Amino acid sequence: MKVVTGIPILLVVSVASICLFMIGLFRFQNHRLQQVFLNRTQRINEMITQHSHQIQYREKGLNAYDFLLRNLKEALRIQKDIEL
Amino acid sequence: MTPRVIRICCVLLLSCHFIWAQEKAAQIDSLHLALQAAKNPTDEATIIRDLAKSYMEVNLDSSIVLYKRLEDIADALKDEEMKARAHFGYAWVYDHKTRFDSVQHYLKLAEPMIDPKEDYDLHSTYLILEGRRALGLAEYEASEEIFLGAINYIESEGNKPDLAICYNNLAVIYDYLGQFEKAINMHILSANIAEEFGDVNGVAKSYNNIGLVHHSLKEYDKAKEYFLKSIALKKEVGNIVGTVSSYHNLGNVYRRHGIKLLSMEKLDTAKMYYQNALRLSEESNYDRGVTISYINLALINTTVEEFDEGIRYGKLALKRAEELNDMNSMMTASINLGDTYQFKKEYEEAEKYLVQGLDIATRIKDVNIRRRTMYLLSRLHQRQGNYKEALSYYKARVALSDSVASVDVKNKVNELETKYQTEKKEKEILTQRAELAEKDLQVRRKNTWIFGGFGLALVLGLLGYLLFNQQKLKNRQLKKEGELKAALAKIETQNKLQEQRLRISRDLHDNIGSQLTFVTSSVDNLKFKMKGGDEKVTEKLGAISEFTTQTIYELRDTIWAMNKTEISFEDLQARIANFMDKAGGASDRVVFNFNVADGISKETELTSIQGMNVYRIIQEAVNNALKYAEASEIDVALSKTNDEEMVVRITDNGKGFDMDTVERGNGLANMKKRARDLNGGVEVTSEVGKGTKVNLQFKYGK
Repeated sequence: MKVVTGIPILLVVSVASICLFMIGLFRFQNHRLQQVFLNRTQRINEMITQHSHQIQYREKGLNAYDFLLRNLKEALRIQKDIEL
Repeated sequence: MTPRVIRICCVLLLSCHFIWAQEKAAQIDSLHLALQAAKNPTDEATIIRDLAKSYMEVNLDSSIVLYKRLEDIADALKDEEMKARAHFGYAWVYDHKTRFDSVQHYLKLAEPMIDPKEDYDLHSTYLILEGRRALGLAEYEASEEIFLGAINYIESEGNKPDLAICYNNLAVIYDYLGQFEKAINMHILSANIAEEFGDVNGVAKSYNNIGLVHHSLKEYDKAKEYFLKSIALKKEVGNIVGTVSSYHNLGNVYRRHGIKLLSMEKLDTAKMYYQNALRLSEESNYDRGVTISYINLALINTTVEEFDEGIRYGKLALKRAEELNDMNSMMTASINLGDTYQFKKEYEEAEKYLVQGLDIATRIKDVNIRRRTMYLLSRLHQRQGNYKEALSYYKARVALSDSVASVDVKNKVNELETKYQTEKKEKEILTQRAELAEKDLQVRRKNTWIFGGFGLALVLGLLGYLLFNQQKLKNRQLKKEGELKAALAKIETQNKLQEQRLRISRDLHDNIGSQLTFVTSSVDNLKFKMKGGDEKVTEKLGAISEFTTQTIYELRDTIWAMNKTEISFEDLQARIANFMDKAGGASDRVVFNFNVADGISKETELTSIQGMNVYRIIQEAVNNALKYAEASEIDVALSKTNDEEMVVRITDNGKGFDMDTVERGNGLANMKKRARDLNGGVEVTSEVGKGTKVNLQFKYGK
């Protein structure tokens, strides 16, 4: 009990303050990192989706190719959204 | 102070006394009225207590009657506390009457009814009364001890008025013991408390006591000033006992001062104050006041050499003191009587009273009085010519003085020794405290370091944990981002490749395709113009046109296959079925059959090149059967030998051909080339009149 009362209150308050400050700072930083990461991944996902749509669009055209009619020119669809 | 002024003062004091007596009477009357109107015993008891207290300052016998009534009520109510208060009331009355044996009796009765831990008020009253009883019996040391104990008890409860009473009594004790410094200290403490609480009576008592100290120090004018102030205040609050006491003190000052200055005026003034005290004491039945007044009047008459009057008052005083068992008064009255008889040269009477006084002084251990009485006895015997007796008393007095001196020296030595020991112990205690403080400081410093270290470790640990967590989060994000980027790169590359293929395909289709079409149409024109010419040339031109057309088809198929990554078996099956239907529509006399074995799953995936080559081989074989075999039935069957090998069989029931003699055309060569592209093989079997069989076998899948 004496040892406990012997702890300088200033020390306890300082350590607690530093700990709280660090926890707060890291929470803030992690939150910011998460936000940046979500933005980046969202952008990448959007690009992947765009490419995927483009491929599907072309695939659809190629699927429409009829060997007998041989109207291949219509099947060969040009990229609309992506400048490669 | 002139006699005229003194007389005026006396008249004023008497006037004040008259006014005070009127006020007191009015107060008592109002209390009597309240007592008559009391509704219950408890209220009645409270009023009786107040009334008894009021009577105590004017008529002590009335107080006794009232305290008896209070005791009866307490018995009826079975209230122990009330009964104890009644006993204390008796004790106060008998204290004023200096009947200390009665005081002791009532204190003994009250004592078992008090619990010092709970009944603070009663216990402090008990201690004060007990101390005053010891003081009245001249047991100064015992009284001092009781009051010091009372101060400790009262200080713990913080009742300052009671504390002031104790200081006052202690001051009186120290005054008796000749310890004037201590007495003054006590008076100052008491006066401070009284002023703090607006206690006029207390302030008056302190003035009186300070006057006593000045008297002892022979500062007569100051003493008179304080006594007059005290009398004025005591009259204001109706304190008869105190007023009587202050009258005596004032008379004593004038007497001493008169003796010193050989002034009859001052001695007369002293006598007047003593007479005032006597009258007031008699009026209020204040026995002790009467006794002391007699003693003082005896003394002043002796001083002014009115010996008969002095003896008369002395005897009255002695009688009263004996009645009251007041040892102090008995001793003083006896010695004064002895002295007076000595002056009157009635030596036998003088010796009788002086010896009586000496006995009492010895009994109550009053050394100073003993020394003084021995001196008087020695002088008495000397005057009588009894030198032996005179010498004996003289020696006894010297021995007593020596013993007193020795005791004094011893006391002083003891006091110094005690002081030295106390200081030494205090120093030791201080040193120990300093050491303890130092150790405590060291322990605290050590603790601070330890806890500081713990704190730092905690902070660093937390920092490490937070950094580790943040890094883990970053790594997780990087990994996921890397995967996404790889996926993006893959799909981007795929898209880019497809775009490149698309451009190449478009170029091929638009340029080479149109050029080949131009070649075909040119050859067909040429062939048309040469109609009827050389048959071989025309036939050759037809072959070129057909080849070119075939090249265009193949070019388109290649472009398609280049852009298409895969084709499902279901799609291929639909396209074959579609082709068969159209072929059937073009040739009404030919029956087309198309069978797919059950073992082939519709989800089976083929590469676009595989699909295209299979389709073209079937198309070539069916076209050949239609063109050359004159068949009435054409069968196309798809089956598989195991999970990876597919078999395509095209059979017709046409005229067939001799495989050794018939010249092979481009169609068969094309089929073989496509079979090689499929990593498989194609086998054409035919006999004249028995139809033709084309058997394609290849490994499918990626």
